[in-house]
Amino acid sequence: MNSGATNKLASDVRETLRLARADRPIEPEIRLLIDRVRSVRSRKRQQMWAGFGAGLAAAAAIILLLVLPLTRKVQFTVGNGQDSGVENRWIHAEAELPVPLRFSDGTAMDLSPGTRARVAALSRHGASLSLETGRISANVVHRNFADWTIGAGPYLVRVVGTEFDVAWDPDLENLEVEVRRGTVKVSGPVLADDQSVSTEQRLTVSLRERRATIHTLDSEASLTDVPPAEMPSAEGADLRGPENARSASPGDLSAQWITLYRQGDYDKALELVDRLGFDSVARASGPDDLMKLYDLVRIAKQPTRAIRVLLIARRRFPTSEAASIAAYKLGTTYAEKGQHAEAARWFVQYLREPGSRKLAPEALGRLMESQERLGWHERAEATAHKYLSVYPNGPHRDYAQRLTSH
Amino acid sequence: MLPRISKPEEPNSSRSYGAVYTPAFFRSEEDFLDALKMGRADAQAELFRRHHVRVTEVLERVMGPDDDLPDLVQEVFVRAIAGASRFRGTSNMLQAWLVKIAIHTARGLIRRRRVWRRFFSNSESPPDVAWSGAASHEQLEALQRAYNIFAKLPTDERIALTLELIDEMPLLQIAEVCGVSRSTIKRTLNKARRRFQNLVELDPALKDLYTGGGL
Repeated sequence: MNSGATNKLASDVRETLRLARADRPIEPEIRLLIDRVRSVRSRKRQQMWAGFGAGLAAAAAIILLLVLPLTRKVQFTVGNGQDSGVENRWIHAEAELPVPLRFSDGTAMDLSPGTRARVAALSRHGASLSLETGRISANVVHRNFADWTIGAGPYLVRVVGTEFDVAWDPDLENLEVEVRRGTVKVSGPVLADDQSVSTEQRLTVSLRERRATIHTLDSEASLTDVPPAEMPSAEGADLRGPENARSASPGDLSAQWITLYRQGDYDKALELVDRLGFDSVARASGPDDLMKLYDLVRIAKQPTRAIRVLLIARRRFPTSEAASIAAYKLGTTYAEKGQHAEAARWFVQYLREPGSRKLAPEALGRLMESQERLGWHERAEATAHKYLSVYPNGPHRDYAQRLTSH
Repeated sequence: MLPRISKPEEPNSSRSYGAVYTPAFFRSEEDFLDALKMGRADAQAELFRRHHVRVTEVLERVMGPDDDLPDLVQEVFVRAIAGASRFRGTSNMLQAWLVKIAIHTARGLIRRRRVWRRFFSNSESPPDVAWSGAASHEQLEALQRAYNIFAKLPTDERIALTLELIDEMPLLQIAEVCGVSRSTIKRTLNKARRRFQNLVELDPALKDLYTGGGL
């Protein structure tokens, strides 16, 4: 069709529109328009008042939020069920997983398994905790006037805003304060008043041996003493470092357990780790060494310790492949302990994590098994269907087929 | 003789929905504009009275046969009145301003309908023409087929081409009401023309009507 024909079509369309146009009386249209304009205005006015009201409510809420913390004490919850915490009530972390304490100002603390502690007093600016035995990992939110203290035996750890662990062993009378970020002040026997422990430092105090040392956390060579000038000048403080107290330096010993592991001498490797301090080795190890440590305790049939190592790996290296593998291994460890609900939870966690494809067939298969053992037949069957569709020749094929054939 | 001066209309709540807005007289065009900006109902009625024909015509030419046309015209005037206080021109620029609002409103409606059709309907065609009037069956058929083709063009091309072909609007004015530069509107129109020609070639009935000497 040429442009002449197009113009003819356009002209016809124009003419047809004109002919077909219905003449509408103008006055009703004007009335309708004015009504619509008024209703739009009234809606806008309502919206404006609603906005004004919402603004007032928001301002009141902000004032309340600002004022309440000034007048209210910090609150806290205990455990994953977030039960309201009560002052002075003892909290005993018995299970394999840490018991979380969550405070209303955002401060988070975790009581490691075996820990017994209590929140002795709450205030507007923080809380005082009393650690009878075990370890508390704390992440204290920094605020003006924040006032947090943890009493451990005769020691007092004072905090403003930081991330740290406090461990107290009343039997050995050992205190350990490990600071990942910020600074804490520790006071008590053997130490000078307000001994500072800063980022990436660990203070260990043996009250029985009247010895205190500070280590830096980073790298194997870090387990050296700070110069005596920086050490507390408290009465009777023994400034000898661990290398003086032992025949070999901790760095050498640390390397030795890995050598023993590589040689397949697992018993001796674990013995050495125990001599060095299991928790210290776990916290000083990188992700690969943590997996080796996990192997040692698994071979020694110590599932509780195995779980502890895996949780440390996940906490310290949350984005690493080791953390992901730790999730899978937590599943298998709990399954071996017969705790299938926990096992299923960790298998699901592993499958949800990015990059978790290497052990996915096993994880899905083990999840299916755990669900079946828990009596969750429908879920197990659904997982089996998924398994067969994704891994038709996977190692759990027969089991999955049995579940789906019911 | 001085022109009559109308009293500013006092909205009466008891009869606001049945009020008759008689033609208003203003001392000057500036008074009219001031009254419009102040939100006086008589000025709003006057605005509609003066420009509804052109606004209706433009919308009709862009949208084609459409049951929602009266609503669309109202929508244009509601928007214009809501934004009157921001109008910075003389009264003889009001029509161009209203046409621009009309095009903007039409574009919004076309896009909303496209989205709606994509998700909720398979139909791509506009509604059938069922108007009464003096138009013949062949004319109505050509009209419907032409707007079926316009409906297949991208929104901006459809608007530009209907303004050029059906409304016979000058190029610069099309660019102005579409809010784009002259070179952009030229490119848009070139693409729209090519696409329109190709689609007409695919419509044997329309092709017959115009190459076979129909109508």
